[in-house]
Amino acid sequence: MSNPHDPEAILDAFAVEATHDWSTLDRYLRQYPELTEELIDLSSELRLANAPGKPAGGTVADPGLEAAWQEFLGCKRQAVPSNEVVNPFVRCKGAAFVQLAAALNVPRSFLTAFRDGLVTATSIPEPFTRRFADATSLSVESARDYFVQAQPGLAALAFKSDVKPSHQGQKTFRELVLATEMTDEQRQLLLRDCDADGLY
Amino acid sequence: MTQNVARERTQPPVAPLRKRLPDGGLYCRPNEVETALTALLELSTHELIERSRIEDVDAPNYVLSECVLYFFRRPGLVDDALHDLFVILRQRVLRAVPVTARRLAGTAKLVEKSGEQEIQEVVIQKFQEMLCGDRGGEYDDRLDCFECRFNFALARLRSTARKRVWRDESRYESTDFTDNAGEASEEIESALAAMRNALNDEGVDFLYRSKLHTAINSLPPDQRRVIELIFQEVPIDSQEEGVTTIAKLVGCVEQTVRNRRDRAFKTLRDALKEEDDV
Repeated sequence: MSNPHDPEAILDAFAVEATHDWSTLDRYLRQYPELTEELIDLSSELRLANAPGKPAGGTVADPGLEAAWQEFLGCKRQAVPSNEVVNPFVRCKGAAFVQLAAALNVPRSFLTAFRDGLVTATSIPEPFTRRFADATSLSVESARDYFVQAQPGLAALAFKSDVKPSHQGQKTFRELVLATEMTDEQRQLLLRDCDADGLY
Repeated sequence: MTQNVARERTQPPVAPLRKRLPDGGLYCRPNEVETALTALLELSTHELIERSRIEDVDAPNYVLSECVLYFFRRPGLVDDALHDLFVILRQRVLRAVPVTARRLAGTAKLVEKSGEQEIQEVVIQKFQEMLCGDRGGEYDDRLDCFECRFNFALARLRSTARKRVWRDESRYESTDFTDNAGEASEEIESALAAMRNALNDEGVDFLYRSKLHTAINSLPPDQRRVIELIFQEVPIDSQEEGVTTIAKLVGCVEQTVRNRRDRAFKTLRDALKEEDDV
């Protein structure tokens, strides 16, 4: 993740403003006088980008296409050594954990069960695994590996708890959905994941 | 499993952006992009790709570039589908950073402007780096800017690339000599205001706007900055304390600003008269 206070990030933020009139430019110039030249240059570029008119149609010659595609294919989603499983919750604590729950549209208590390895890996439907992988920047394979290797007790050891740890048995995904307090809409959507994957 | 964008769709249908603004808030897509994404999630991958091929931005089924990139970045697409979207994205980037041709003086030969060629190459390379980094597992949050406002994010890349070209082509730096052979200041100001309005007026002839666009791009940086600030209606100078002026922003005296304005205006006016531009 880039640092939001880098000059580059500040120029990015200016670029994606809804308007680039004087009040917006002036605000940035006053806040970041060290970037005056860059902001004025960018303002000019954005004015031209914003000018009406369709870009020319038709295919543009792209001699670098094949090499670029091969390079892209070569950048496989980061492979993790087979004996090393990434725990996505290590970097999803506090606010990030709350954000992850929001991104998955599940209650935090539901997500906690995954963090603590309380869900039988084989019962987790593929659509949920994919969404989880997407939200945690893992490959789908890495997410699966995490679910498989997460064990009750072991996973939870990494996190501070207010209560004395105790062994709990694993639940299936469907059982967890039915047992967790959530809105009807959330429940239906998660159950639909199970149905789509033929998991009962 | 079928290759269907909607197959893994449950709420929330659209993955949120993760890049943070300098004030700590998260980037948010404009409503029109969110709405378009929600609708596109209903499509099969095949339908999505076919619609993404549409080039006419006014066509009812046109897919916003922000949305094409969204689906490209999300896991689950097979390589064939990914390849199609990759080609479409590159074409959109290349079209947004065009290289215009210019007729070689006294001949019928067309040559591409080298500076523009270099800018296009730098932009597409930078975009490629981000796509590769993103696929490599390290979420590249700079791409969130493109998912938010694709063309503005491209303008940002262009601006950086142009700066590099300016550095390389230091011969284009203008010199601040005094030129008294110019027109009256009011006439120049008024003509520049007309140019600014023409840029944003769809009713104005497209060829005229296109020439103006190219001419502004060809200005040396110091002149271009002055023109941008005049377009923003910033006064060149002021006796009032606390008023932001062009002279203060570009760090030179009033007369230098006027000289830059006058030379830029002459360049723009001459370019608009030229018949040889293609």
